[in-house]
Amino acid sequence: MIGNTASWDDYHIDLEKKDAALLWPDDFVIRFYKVELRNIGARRVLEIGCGAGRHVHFFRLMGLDVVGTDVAPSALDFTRRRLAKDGLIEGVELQVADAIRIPYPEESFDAVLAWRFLHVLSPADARRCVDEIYRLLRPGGKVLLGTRSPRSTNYELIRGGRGADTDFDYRSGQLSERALRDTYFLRQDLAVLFGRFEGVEIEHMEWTRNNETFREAYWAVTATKPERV
Amino acid sequence: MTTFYDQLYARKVKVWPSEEVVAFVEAHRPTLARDRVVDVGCGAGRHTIYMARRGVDAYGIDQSAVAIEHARRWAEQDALKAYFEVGDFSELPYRDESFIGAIAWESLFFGPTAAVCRGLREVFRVLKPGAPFLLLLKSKDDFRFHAFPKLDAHCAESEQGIPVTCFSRDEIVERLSPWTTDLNIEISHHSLENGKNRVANFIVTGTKILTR
Repeated sequence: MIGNTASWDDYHIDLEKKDAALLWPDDFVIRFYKVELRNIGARRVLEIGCGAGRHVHFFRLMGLDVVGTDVAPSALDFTRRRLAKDGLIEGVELQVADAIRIPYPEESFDAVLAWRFLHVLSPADARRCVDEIYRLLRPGGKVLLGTRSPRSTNYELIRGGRGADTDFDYRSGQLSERALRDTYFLRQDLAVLFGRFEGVEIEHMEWTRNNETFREAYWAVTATKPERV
Repeated sequence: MTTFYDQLYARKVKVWPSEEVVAFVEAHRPTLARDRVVDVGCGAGRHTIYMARRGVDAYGIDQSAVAIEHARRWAEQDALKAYFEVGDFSELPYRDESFIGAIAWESLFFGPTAAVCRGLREVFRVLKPGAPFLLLLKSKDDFRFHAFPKLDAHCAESEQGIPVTCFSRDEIVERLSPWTTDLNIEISHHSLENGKNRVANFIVTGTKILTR
């Protein structure tokens, strides 16, 4: 396994109490569904790094067949319980898997979501992950990927050798350890990473905490796997 | 004006609560669940409904009759007790100090400067002393403030002639200082059209001061 499975596993215990906001879909993902997935008539989607499953839940509610993968079994347990409680478990497959080795045949999905985890991989594994997404998408399929940008305060902290932010529950403890390998992409790096895709659009988002003393910053990349010619 | 919003809500409706609103409601739930909470510019009611679902006595108000009609039907279908009415945020139809909390999400910047400023005063008028609030205000860093003709120092006339009133961080601090001493102001930015345009908001939280 790549990544720190145990730390992510701990995080998902009692998530409801810790961070209720993470039960709801992200605005960017909602827009991805409404604009891109509806447009291509997507039926089957994959979320890599689905965590507590807010987007698996959302996609299933919207009537899609969903596969969710994560390195943390507790995340998938949490997701499974939540889906079962809401009567949404049918049509969902949940699997423990590395982000660079998703156990499905090529062209299995109309869309792939990889939301805000790519930065925890090494640059080489990030490359493998994007290649894996390409392999799994059918021609004309869509991907939405989120990853940290260098405008993150964590980037400055790590560069300054001070270790990353530790005042956040799930980013705490593990972060100083993980931070050594946090990967921050520039816009042009992402353009290269998504070189085989077409219609690549890269948006930036950032927000602060603690009266603007700490900044979270992410890229959101939307792209299409080219149709066969 | 109402027609524009009616058309908007007839076309599409947002149903998922914003993460920031969820975080605010959950952080203050013991307080909010004790009394009435107002959702100013509630639109089709996604946050009023969320609060009702979480045991809060939630009141939504919006100037669009279409949106309010939708919100009422939604609450009825889900068997939730939530109160909705059509009204203007610059003239809230509520008594002074009658709410234990207030949110104004993606609403309190649509309108000319005077109306938005009146809306801010109204929010604090209807809040009880010590009550928490969450406001999304539009930042002058927003592309709309620069891309569209300005009506005055704060307001630009954006798409379809809708005025959008924007502030700087300092202007917000100054404007809200009569009502609160524990302001927390965060930025929330995201780009559009492949990084070309920037949407820029302030997320403002705090509690109303106990005495004037």
